[in-house]
Amino acid sequence: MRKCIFILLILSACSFAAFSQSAEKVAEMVKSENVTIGQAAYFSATALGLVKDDESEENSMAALKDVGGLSDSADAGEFVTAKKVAEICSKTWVIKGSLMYSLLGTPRYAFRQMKADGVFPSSMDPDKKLSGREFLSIITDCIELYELKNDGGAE
Amino acid sequence: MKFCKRFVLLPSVFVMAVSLNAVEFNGILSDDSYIKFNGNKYDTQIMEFSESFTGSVKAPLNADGSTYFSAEAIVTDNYDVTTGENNVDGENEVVLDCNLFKFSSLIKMNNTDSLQISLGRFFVSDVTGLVFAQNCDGAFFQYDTPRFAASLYGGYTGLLNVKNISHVSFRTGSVWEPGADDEKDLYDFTAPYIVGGLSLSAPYCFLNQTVTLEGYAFIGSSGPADIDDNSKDESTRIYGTLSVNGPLSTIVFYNLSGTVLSAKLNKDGVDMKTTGILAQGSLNFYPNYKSSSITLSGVYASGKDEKYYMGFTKATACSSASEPILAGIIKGGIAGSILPIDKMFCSLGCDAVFRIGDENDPDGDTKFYGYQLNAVMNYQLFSDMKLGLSGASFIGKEKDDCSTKITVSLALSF
Repeated sequence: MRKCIFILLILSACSFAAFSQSAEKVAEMVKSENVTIGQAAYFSATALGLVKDDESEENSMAALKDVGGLSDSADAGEFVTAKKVAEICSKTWVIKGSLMYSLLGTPRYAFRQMKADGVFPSSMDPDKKLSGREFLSIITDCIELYELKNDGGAE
Repeated sequence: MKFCKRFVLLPSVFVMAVSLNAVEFNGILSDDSYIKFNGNKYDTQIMEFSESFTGSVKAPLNADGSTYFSAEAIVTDNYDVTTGENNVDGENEVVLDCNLFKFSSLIKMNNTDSLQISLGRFFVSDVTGLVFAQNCDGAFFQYDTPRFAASLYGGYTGLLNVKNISHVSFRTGSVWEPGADDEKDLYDFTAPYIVGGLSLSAPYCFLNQTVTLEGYAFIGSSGPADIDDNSKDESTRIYGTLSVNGPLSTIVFYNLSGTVLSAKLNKDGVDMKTTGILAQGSLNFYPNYKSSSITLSGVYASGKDEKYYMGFTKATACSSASEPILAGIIKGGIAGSILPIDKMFCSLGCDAVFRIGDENDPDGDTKFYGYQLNAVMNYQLFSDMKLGLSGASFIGKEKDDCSTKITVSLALSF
């Protein structure tokens, strides 16, 4: 088990290095039983280049809120669900392929498209609270599959 | 009193369990339209335009989702019109159905063994997929181990909608159809049968081959359907199947099955026993090229009086004008499929069909009936929108059996 976590940590660190996230934050994420909105926002904001990799979760959230990547009422300590992660990812990466998402742009259809792309398992419950390892796996897939938004996450 | 308490408590527990977890709703809007020409009469066009809305819900009842409730309802509007010399004015028919209403649970007994329990209305199929393959109300239990699997099914057909699911009646030798008075009904009950099934399977028991031994019994029963005494089917049918399938190499797979039907029936007021045979086989090649496959297949369903085979669920044997059921038929052919470009599936198939006797002469000899060709192209326009185009043509020995059908379909899931 420890070996698996170590390998995941190394792989994730290598993958995220290209997107400026710090190894320390990745290590912290691997250990998390549930991911908070603050943690998720850090990964999104650093990927978009809105903040530096040593920035706090609070500042990352503020930067995301400024560009409309998060709603003003988002709470840093709240645990993220799979659907919320899909919403944050859809503000970070360009998700294509769904007619309903193109028309409505809602988290529901971002989640469904990410399921169709294999980012989320087909049996994933949209309201499931994600662990750190699940979150990192999703972010890794997004880095591989999707293009970063070049508008800083703005709608 | 105890029963009343349980009756109130059970739904409450269910509602509480559902509220703890997410309920997922989905919908599908689809259109299927076809144009058909029978007997090479191209001035007479049979057309149907069918629009449907499917709503589904899935609610996990525990944290890992291994126990869940799922349901699906469909409402369809069919508009039929025939032009030409047999001109029939267009008529709308709206059909409502519940395809799925299932409680399911997968219980891990230990590291390797599991028990699956499903209750309610859901799709059930025998190992051949030709005897019994339909939605049905009942209970299914399956115990799986790495070397052995056993399953048991018990069900009842009488609450299904005859407009979507029909059965072959042994009493009349034909398929149940809605009565003339019920044509405008949204929901019309089908013929009632009690269904029992037992399957024993040894997966990968030798050289990765899987052997399955299965039995299904269908007993005519009573139910809410409007059936007069002359049409009531009180026959008992028992089907026993031995199936073997597995790989012959890394790219070649096969499937062989033999089914014996034993039935008591009343034909023209005479009680008689019949023993029918259904045999089928297929050889599948999967060349490592654009997810393609080539399949050689053959099926034999015995005919003639005391060797008459009939399935249980209505299944069309070929695409000729009369669309006969799988009884007294020999069919063999080749089919291929490929994904030529991303998101596109194409398939092409050809079969030669022979009939053992026919409706007018059931004891007649085996005769060449015709060739059937079919082609399908499905294109995934978006991940949630699919366009389908298919064509089927039957080139019969007799002109009246010829038929050509072209279908276009579009579906959007949301």
